[in-house]
Amino acid sequence: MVQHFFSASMRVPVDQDKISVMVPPELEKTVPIIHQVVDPVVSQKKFDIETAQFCESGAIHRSRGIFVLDCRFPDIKIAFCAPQIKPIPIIFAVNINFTNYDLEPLSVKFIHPLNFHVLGLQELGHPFLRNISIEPGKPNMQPLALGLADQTAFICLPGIREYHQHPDHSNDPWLAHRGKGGEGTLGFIIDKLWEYGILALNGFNIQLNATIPQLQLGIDINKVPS
Amino acid sequence: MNTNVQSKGNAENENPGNDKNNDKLVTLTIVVNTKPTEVNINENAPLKAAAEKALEQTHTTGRPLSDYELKLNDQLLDMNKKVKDYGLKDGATLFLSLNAGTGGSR
Repeated sequence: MVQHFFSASMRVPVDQDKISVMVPPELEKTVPIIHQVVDPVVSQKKFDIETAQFCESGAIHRSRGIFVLDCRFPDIKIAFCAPQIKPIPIIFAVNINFTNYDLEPLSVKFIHPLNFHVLGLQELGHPFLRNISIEPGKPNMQPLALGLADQTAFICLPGIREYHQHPDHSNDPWLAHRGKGGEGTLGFIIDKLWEYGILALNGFNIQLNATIPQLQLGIDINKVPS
Repeated sequence: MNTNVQSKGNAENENPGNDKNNDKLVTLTIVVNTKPTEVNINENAPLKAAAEKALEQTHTTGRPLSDYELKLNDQLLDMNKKVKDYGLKDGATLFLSLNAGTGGSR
């Protein structure tokens, strides 16, 4: 199991081949394998602290539609529902990875909530809109969900590994954000995912492509003159 | 700790010196980046006094209060308004979130 491999006695850099062997088959396609350069004990301690803080107040988070699917170092998998919509749908789920945290920021990948497979941008089907308008009453929506080079979906915000590793943001290093007001922590990321992914949802929009062979006028039979 | 919050609140009261016994203390739960903390605050104090206390109690430092937003459910609150302006009662849960930096596609 992964957590055994990253036991408290593990204080040497992790061998990449050994990780591949130790990761359970069901996680191999869902968890990005990244070389652990930070002492795993350090990253696991931070993982334990931040996940415990989050889980201790589970009732508050569930009231907003947020709940944990799985929590085993170095990953926590979280689902986000929209409780304001009935029946309550699972809107998306994420895998948040603590490898090398917090020398490197947390990685956030969108996953299928049931089989945990990593989703592409098309499969995600949710833009995570942000209103960047500076004129009141004139919304200007910007999608925060974007695709990596392989079209894996990610959320483009400072404090997230995929943002800082993206060539467009090479002038905005993670270390300029780390430890400032909680930016990039597990709590911050969950909060932003909820804010841009859940808060503004108000129902389902249904698109129909219908072929109408004949258009008929509607008639109120009570008003049909005699 | 509670006295500190109360004095902040009274200092910004629109009626300074109106430190009457009928000023109620309200206990709010403020969730800072998903970390909850309880804050005792005078109902006549501005919400920013409660927010500052929540940041202090959760050891959240490095960014000014102006970088945060305070929400009640999906309602954005004006932190210059008083606690009682929003009718907040004991046990009310507010969410204090750090604003995200610039990102996304242009």
